[in-house]
Amino acid sequence: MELYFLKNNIAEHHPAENIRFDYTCDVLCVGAGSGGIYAADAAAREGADVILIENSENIGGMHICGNVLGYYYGAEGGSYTEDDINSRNETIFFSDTVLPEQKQMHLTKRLKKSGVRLYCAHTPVGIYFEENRAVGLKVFNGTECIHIKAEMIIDATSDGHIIRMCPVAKRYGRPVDGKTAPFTVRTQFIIDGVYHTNNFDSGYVNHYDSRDFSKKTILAHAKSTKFIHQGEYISLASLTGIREGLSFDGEERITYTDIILNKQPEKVLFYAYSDLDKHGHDLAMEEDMYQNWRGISNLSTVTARIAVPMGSVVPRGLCGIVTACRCLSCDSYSQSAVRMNRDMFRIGECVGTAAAMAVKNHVPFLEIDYDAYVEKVRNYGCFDGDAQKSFGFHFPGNNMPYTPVVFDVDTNLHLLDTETPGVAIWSCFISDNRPESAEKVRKKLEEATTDLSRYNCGIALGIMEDKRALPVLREIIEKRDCFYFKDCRRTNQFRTAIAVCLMGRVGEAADAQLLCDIIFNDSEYENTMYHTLKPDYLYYAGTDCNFVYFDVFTHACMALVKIYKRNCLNVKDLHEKFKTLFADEKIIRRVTDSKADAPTHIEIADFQKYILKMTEE
Amino acid sequence: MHIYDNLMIGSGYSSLGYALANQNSIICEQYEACDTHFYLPMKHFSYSEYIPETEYGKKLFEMFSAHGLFSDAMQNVNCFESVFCSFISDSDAEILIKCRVVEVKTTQDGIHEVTVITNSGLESIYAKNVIDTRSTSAKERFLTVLYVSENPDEDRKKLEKEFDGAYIENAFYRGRYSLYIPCGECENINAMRLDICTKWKQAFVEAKILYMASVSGVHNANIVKDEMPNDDWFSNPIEAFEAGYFYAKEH
Repeated sequence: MELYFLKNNIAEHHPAENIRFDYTCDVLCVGAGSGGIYAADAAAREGADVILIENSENIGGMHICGNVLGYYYGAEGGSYTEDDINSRNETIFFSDTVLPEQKQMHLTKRLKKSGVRLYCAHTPVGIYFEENRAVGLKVFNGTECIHIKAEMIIDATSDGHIIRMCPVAKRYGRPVDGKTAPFTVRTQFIIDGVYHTNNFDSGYVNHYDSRDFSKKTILAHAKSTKFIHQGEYISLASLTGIREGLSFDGEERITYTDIILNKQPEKVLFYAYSDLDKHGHDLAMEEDMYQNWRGISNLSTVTARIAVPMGSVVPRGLCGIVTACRCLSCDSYSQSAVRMNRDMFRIGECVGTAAAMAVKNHVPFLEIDYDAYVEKVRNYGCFDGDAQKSFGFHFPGNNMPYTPVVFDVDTNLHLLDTETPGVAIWSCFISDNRPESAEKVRKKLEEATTDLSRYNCGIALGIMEDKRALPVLREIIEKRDCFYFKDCRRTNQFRTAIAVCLMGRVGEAADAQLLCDIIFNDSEYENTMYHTLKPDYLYYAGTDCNFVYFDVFTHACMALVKIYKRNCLNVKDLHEKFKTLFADEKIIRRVTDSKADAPTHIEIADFQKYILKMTEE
Repeated sequence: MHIYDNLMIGSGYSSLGYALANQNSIICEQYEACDTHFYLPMKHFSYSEYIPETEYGKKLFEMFSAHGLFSDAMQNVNCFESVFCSFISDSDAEILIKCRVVEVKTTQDGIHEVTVITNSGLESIYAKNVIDTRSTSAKERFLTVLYVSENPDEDRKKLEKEFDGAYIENAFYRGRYSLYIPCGECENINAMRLDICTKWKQAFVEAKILYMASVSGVHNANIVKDEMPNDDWFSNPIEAFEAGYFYAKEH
């Protein structure tokens, strides 16, 4: 037997001999949060002997202790609905909305009723393996280390703190620079007798680096003083709101491309339901596919029904351990989708059910009777709560109804004549017959009688990387067209930024000058487009930064680099130009007045470093 | 290998005061918050006045006052942690949060090797002195409930009857009250909270619960002479801070 553990962020292991296990169970669930509570409860329901351990003294994880109770995305269905109903019916709490304490009360009752053995203030420090099979954990209970033996371990710790110790490949962050989504801090307060919660994105942190995590969390708490005078301040959430953490190499993997192209795995663990909720502002640094969806097609509030494969919770080559949280085998983009509150309850319930079935039948997790599994979780309601939905505009924060969307070129082509062309643009992109679709759009462009139609057609051609888009893209950019699409109810993309982005993909050498004018010409910043937003413009970015300029500027920089490289122009020369441009804080100050440790400042500074690195190679 | 002069277990005002008096210190805090004696357990809203003497103490007091946290012998405990973190960010204090001390070993030359578990996994920190500032008095622990009441006298009677040994004080804002329920050596906060809610309903109290502290706290702990000051001894955070600071200077 070997003990695997993390020391200073490096996974190590050594032989473990003569270990006397203090406790034994069928299923050992780590983390009494959104996933863990329902995983433990579900496993117990299936007849397993379950131990649930939790690092803090309070159960509930992010949705209770992190106070994200109100941010209720994800699909309907599952045991959590009963707790929600019971919580809402409580009359001893102040507020028409549900306070964390109300929910926590019902979760405590649930666990008590289920017979799960709960141990709080217990921190895992190592995991025992016999060859490739996880057999137990070493846990610190505040006084000493104890050892717990289990047939199946469920890592429900959000950030994969058990998986981190395991011999499996792991990664986090977006491909280009490893940056994860910004973290958040939640506050509770009362204004004029009404209870409120507030969420503020607090910047970037490497939460696996204890020093960075400590420093940035303390800084974020310090900044929350600005809410003290809003009203009657009640509290700051006791857990830091990390949005994105580890993913690992699993037996199967969820990718963003699979989600948006609606690919279905052979065995589905459950269906999640969400939009791609990435919170960074430097869209220009994201992968092309994500830019196509979010920026160019403006589909940020389109939700998708996401088939989560059974194998995405199983670390490759290992047995006896699975995950039931947002730490999955997935890419960075799909992690932004499969993490919503209600989906985490449901993944817990599904994994707990499957884990118990595996233990009871003495089979590996992936070899349980799949039909029997699906029947169970369907009956519990946690398998596919929103089966009737596929893709649709949906923003639970407001009262607008769910609007289903079908991505078909013929059905949607007419939308290119409207202010909401996003669905049409995306339909063109994923078309099975792109040449035919491109021809349809080209014909429409020829016949267009308004700039609205012409420009939208140009963008549709551009997303298909059809060079016939170029004349229109040039025109949009030269005009500094400040029209923004109206598809989304949350964020909307400026058409100039879209055109600039596409120019990077199809532009010719001569188009470099257009982009240079945006980047290097000082008078560019005086353009009214960057300073006069229409009143109904929603640019989900906060009002204290010039994100229109940031968006256009960063897209222009990326596009220019792409044109240079594709056309074998003098990249070294370009590097020197960027170096001169970024030598002082001129560009940063055009976007924000914030201090060097502020999230926006860091975002722009990081972007500049990235461009310099790209042109240095 | 860096060797700290001091490793403080537990972040609080006295702990920080001690650390700032001796710059080569590190504070290890198990929670994800820095004020774990006043804010987290929602300790008393009333306090005794204290005039700071040190530059650090005066700065801390000014920050608290600037945010209106002291008023008419009442202190807005719920806001303490935010402002405390503001003070910490401006100082050179080194604090690790979500950091649990697992083991302390003493090497042959008298240096302590402290094994902690953090988000980075196990880490070893070396220090000449290890000072534990965590609450010591287990038997006098209280769990605090902040509530809203329109009939305070009637609600008070019911609550004091239902919760044996509990007492009530006015909270900072008008119409808000804090109920301190003794929890003895209770180790299961979740079970205790459930129990409180059950009894609240049984008592037919009209007052509404606004917030329940996430950890139990210690009230009115006795000062122990010559020992490292503990935040539990004080009702004023500035006083606690300077007590730690002066203790560091004297020892």
